[in-house]
Amino acid sequence: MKRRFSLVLALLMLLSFMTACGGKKAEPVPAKAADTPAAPPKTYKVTMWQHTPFTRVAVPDKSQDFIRQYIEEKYGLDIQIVPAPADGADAKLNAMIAGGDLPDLIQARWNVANNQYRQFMEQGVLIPLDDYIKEFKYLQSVQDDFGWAHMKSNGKTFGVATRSGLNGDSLWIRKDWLERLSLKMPTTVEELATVAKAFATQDPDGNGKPDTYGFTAHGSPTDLVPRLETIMAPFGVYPGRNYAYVENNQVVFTAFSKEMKVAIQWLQDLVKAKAIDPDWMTNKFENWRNALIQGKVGIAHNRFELLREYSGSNTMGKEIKEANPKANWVQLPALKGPAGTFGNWAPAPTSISMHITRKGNDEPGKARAIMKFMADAMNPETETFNILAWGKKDVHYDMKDGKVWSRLPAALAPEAGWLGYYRVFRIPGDFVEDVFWRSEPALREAERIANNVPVLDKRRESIVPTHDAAPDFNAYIREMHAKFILGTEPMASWDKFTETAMTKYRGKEILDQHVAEFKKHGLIK
Amino acid sequence: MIQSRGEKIFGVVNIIFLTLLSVATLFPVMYIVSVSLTPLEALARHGGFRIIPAEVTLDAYRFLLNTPLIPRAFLNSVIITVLGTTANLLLTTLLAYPLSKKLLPGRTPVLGAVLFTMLFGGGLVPTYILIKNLGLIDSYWSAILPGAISTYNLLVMKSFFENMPEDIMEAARIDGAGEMRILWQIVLPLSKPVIATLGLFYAVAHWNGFFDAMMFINDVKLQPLQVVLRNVLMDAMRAEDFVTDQVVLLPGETIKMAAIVVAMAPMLAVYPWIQKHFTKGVLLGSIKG
Repeated sequence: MKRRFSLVLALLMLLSFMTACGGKKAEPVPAKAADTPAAPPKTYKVTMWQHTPFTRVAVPDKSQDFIRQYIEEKYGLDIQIVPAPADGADAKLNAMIAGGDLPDLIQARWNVANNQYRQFMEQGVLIPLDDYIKEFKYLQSVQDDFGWAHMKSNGKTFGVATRSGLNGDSLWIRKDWLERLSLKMPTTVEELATVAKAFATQDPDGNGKPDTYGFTAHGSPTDLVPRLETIMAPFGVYPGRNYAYVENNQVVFTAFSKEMKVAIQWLQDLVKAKAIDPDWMTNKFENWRNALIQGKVGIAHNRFELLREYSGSNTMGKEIKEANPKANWVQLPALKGPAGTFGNWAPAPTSISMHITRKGNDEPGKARAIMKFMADAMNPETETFNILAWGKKDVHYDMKDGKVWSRLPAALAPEAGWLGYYRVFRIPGDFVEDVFWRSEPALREAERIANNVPVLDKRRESIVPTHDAAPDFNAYIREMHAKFILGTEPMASWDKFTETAMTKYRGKEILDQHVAEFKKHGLIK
Repeated sequence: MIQSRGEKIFGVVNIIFLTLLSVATLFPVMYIVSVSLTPLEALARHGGFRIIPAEVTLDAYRFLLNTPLIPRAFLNSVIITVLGTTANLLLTTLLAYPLSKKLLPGRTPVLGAVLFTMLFGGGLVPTYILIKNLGLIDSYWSAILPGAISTYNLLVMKSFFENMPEDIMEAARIDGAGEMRILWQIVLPLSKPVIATLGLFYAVAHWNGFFDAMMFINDVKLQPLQVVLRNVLMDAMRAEDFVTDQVVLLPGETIKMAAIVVAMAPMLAVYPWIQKHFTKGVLLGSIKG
């Protein structure tokens, strides 16, 4: 027994020696900047954490990545992109940061992980960028005060939010149907309702069958009232799930506002008059798309490029023409409604922002080089912007009359390749917008459409972390709104609906969260 | 054998019950395969539900296989599964065999330590730090080494070895065989059931492995199939949310189903071959003599 025991003890001691012997690789000591005299432009190794929709293509090797080489040559930054996984990105980033493996540059998607970045700001993971923003003046113009407010903590700015996206959505109408039925272009919401009912009852396509409607929609998990949002603008309603905004120093939920009630009543009337396609609640995107192509509806909320031919590989415009050469979709002018004349609503301030971590500042000059690059990347006047946006001339795009026409198929296709990774620097607001910019003319048209109509601007929303009660709350709102619109729930029970949502579905807690956030931004007292 | 009436009735009811159960199990698989083969327009028209598809198209599969990453990811998964399972079986055997000898000095503390790991783990951040400091980030081994020995499987194997008759090993020892030789040439050939069973458990776990690879492998070219498929699907779903011109190229539902079939198929193909060892294997830890 004793012999065995000492044997075991000896074994254990040997084992512990061996673990202690595993040598640690010595960390290379970084050169102290103070010692080097006026050094030649140094190359900094930078890792960038990026949320990207381009995960179907690998980040290329440096030898094939001309953009990376360009950036290194011009700014001294050797950027290694670390794509965030589509699932579990937050957990991974947290683990990396807690484990000491910080990336230098983080691209944040605010509608995904907002709470996280607040914490990073407060815990010193990110560095303040005020001095650099002052130095690189272009950055000051990418956001308005409200947009910058989200990047601030304790008066210091910790990130750069990319420019607000265009809201390329609009209401469109079949002009040929209007002409066929000898109707005027509607200018108020009442006139629109009349036209919608006419489209449903007066056989505007002249085929003798009652197969047309005013509107249709398709269910989308993110929309409050699917695909009918632009119609809400003249009513003063701002779309969005538990969207809350400030009015008269009060925080109001869009879903329960008095404007929403009026809008829903209007929709209810349309449903009663059968002006809306009865499948609107269960339609998938494909059904909705088919409905437009086959001429089933006369009014639609759409992004402009779906109805335009030069939107590249987007074939909807073409398909519509093929199905019916006479089909003529035009943008509806802004409609006058109870809240005023609006054709659209102002887009959210941002959904993507760039942050530099304290690792990005571990060598002198590194953070500055990164900011310099960013300022150029966001500025459409620079060569950097062009390379990031469009690629290589004559390889990825052609210049026709001084305008860029991209040769790439849809940006999300594998053939468009890894170029997509670099577009995120200069995306105006939401990366998806980029999908549509096949050419400068398309881009200009989008801007024209977006600016064509006065926009409802209630943008004083706060960005709050998703409350755990939010999914049920949103689901309940969506369900009830649908019931009200369909008429299965009478408008008289609106107040009861509001109260149930605020109490049973914990809307009050979500509201309190918004109020606290608004107070932090100084938007309410 | 003459069956009593009760037994006959039971037989009939049993057959009906099991048939229904099999259908209920097979039905989702059939649905998945069918949707993956249906062209998009047919789905939209019929509201997405066809058991036997009227028209068949390979578009969804073509889309997946054209994504350059997916064949590469498939290869990565195969490599990780093969390497991983080999490592697993090797290490598990080498630990289970000595622990099965009741006279091993220090057996109880070692077993205690092993059981401890079954109940408590380090957590995500310490694991991340560990993997990082071992230099395993962006390496296949980060998906293999941390979980190389599954405690549960280890205990199954240990039980199995304990139940093997000592006589053969005694005889071999008398004949002058060393312990390693006994292990490799006598014990293991007799352990085919348990090795096949545990090998299958490990292989399936590796094939389905998502979390480790997602966390520790950044280079998309090295990521296994499940991670890449998840990324592709999330992109497709996200793109659908926003109205895009991609919709013609991204038939969402059918692609999701095709991805599921692609992920399932290899394991389904391997199962029947191991089947004959499998049914014997799981029980072996429990039956004495």
